[in-house]
Amino acid sequence: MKQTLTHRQISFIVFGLVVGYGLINLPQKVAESGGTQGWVSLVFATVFTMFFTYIILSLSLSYPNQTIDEYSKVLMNSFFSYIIVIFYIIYFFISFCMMTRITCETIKLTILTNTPIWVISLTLLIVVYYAVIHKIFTIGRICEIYGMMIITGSIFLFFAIFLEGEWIHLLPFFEVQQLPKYIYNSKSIVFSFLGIEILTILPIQKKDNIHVYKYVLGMILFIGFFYILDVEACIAVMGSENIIYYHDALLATLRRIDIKELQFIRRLDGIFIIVWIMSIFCSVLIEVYATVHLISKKFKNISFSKIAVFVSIIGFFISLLPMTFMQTEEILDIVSKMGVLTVVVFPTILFIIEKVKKNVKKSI
Amino acid sequence: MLKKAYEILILIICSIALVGCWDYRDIDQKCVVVSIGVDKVKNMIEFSGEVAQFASSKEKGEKAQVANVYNMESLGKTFGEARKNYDSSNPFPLFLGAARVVVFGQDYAKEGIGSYLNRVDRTTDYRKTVLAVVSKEKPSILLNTDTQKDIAVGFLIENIIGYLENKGRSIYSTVGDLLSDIELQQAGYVMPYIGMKKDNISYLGLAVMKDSKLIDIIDEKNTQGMLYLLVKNLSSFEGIEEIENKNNKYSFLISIKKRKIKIDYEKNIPVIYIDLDLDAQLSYQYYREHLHKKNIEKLEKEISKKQKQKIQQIIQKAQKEYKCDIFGFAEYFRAQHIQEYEKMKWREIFPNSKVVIRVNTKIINTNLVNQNVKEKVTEE
Repeated sequence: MKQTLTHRQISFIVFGLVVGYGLINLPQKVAESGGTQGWVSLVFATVFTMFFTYIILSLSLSYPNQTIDEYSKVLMNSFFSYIIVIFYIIYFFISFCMMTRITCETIKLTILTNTPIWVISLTLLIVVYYAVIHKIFTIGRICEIYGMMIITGSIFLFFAIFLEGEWIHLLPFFEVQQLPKYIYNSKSIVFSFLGIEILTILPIQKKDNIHVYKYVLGMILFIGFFYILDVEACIAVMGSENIIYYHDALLATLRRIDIKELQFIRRLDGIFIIVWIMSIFCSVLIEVYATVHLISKKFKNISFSKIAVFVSIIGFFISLLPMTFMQTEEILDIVSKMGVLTVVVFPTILFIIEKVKKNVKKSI
Repeated sequence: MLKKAYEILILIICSIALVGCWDYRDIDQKCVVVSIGVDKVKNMIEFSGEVAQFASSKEKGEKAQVANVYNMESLGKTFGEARKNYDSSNPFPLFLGAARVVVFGQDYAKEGIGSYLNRVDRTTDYRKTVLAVVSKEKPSILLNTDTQKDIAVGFLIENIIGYLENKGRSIYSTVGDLLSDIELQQAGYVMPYIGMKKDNISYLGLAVMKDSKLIDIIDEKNTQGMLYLLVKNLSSFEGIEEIENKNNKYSFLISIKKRKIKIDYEKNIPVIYIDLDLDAQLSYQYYREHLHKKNIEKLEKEISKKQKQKIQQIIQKAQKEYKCDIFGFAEYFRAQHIQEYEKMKWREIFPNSKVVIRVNTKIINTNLVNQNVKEKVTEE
């Protein structure tokens, strides 16, 4: 029986990649750009993301069971298609390398202070490799199960944080005259939604396409709500003036609360670390899969698992290249700018070409 | 077959690496710190503290676990140097994750505790929820005190402040709370002040901090006005003289029903409105007498007047003497007037702010005492 990704799995793969490392530092970014009113910018960022998700989805549904390497060839000539695919490979590859590195750096600085970075990185990539070789359907199932656990764990944490927070820290909520500022600020926050580009390499079935829209757009909407909870919970405890100094805002917030009533789980940072590492695992897993998948399309003679070994080993060494945490951040910054091309520019160009071609066909 | 062997190999590697069998260190191979004292001695930083003793001793064999501690001390020009000096005489690495309290000496607090708070914030194993207090005595002396309560000094201080906070009679200021206060423009905050009272470690009042430097101490008996503005679950007994017989007194248990703080900004001057609704329960009378219904209202007004005076006194002191907001009004100003807050410095305008205090007390019960008895007896 031919396996297909369910709509729910597709939406959880999107969740897995979008909500990765960002869970920990998003409150700092939002508070820095908009203070207590930063949540409004998040709403606008969610709307922008939904718009581009719609474009990518509608492109994928026009070419059922095909991924960007296939339909870009149909829409453009093979040279441009080749360029696009190479760009996506580089993007996903550097993304997962740097994501692995920054995660290992953060783990070393906050939890495993004596463990060398290469050990953490190797451990993560060995597990990721094992999952990747089982291909997208296994990854879909992992993301679905892990996604549910991440959501449940995180929402429990957010509400626990709210219990310890101060309502006054969250005010003022909204000012009508600041509306242009909110929209302007959303341009820096929208990078937190990078990850929807994964839809370009997921084979989507034509049937029940309305359900795909419903699930995936619904998931983006949920991620927006999830992010708002994350940001507001942290501000409620730390205050917007204080939180801007913490790259690890959510972890720093959790370390400031101690819920005596919860007895043996009164310190919530332990729960968070489990949830956060699961969410990082999903992100790195999907990015490694995307890299391997696109390379395997170009080198059809080499088996998928061999490419996976090669990508994991090279990725491991590349992740160790940056000398400092700051260098890693700089590279990630460049990668997120590359992400604009993968989420906005390429899909929009392909979408326009597809629409023009369709109209030409109709008129003929 | 080969695949299965790989899987088993991965499982073995993971189980060794992830369950902590590698590089394992037993708890008695660490110095688990219970309390830390920070003070200034002749321009040097002095660290003192209590370290948990895990090995059982014959003398302390039957005491509670937390009573088995030994004291440590070290000096240095900087925090780093003081720590280095401590490490050089210590057999095991220090673990700060179990610290219950940080005690600042008065001399150190007068010079500013901000730098040590930042140190706690950025030290990975330190809990940010650790209690911070200022001590009248030098921390090295206080933490060396024999409490005679079968408990380490660190735990004792934590329990005392925790209990008082629960009753609304003090505040429990954690390092995290203080760091948030510092970032806010208000410039001031208060923290518990402890010391020796008749050979016992006791809560003595509140230490007033401005720019993280100790500027004054509010004696415990004068803290109530402050607590009305800071704590949620205040419950305190108040003795009120009877209207007709001044020799008799009513003891009321007063609690906060509702507190509303609103700040208006009129003609470039903030006006702080404090509305406080209090519930009063008659606990007992010094001498049993009938409480007339008409007197209940008078008593309510009397309670309100007294509490209002207490709040007024501390706010006036903060405005005129401390010249800084130790109540967190800055947060209300920011929440209600964000534009003005961003343009001007709250710490500069707070001393000239107008304050309107409205206290409304309701006597909600008389502790099941039948107040009609006397009337009936008289009628007969």
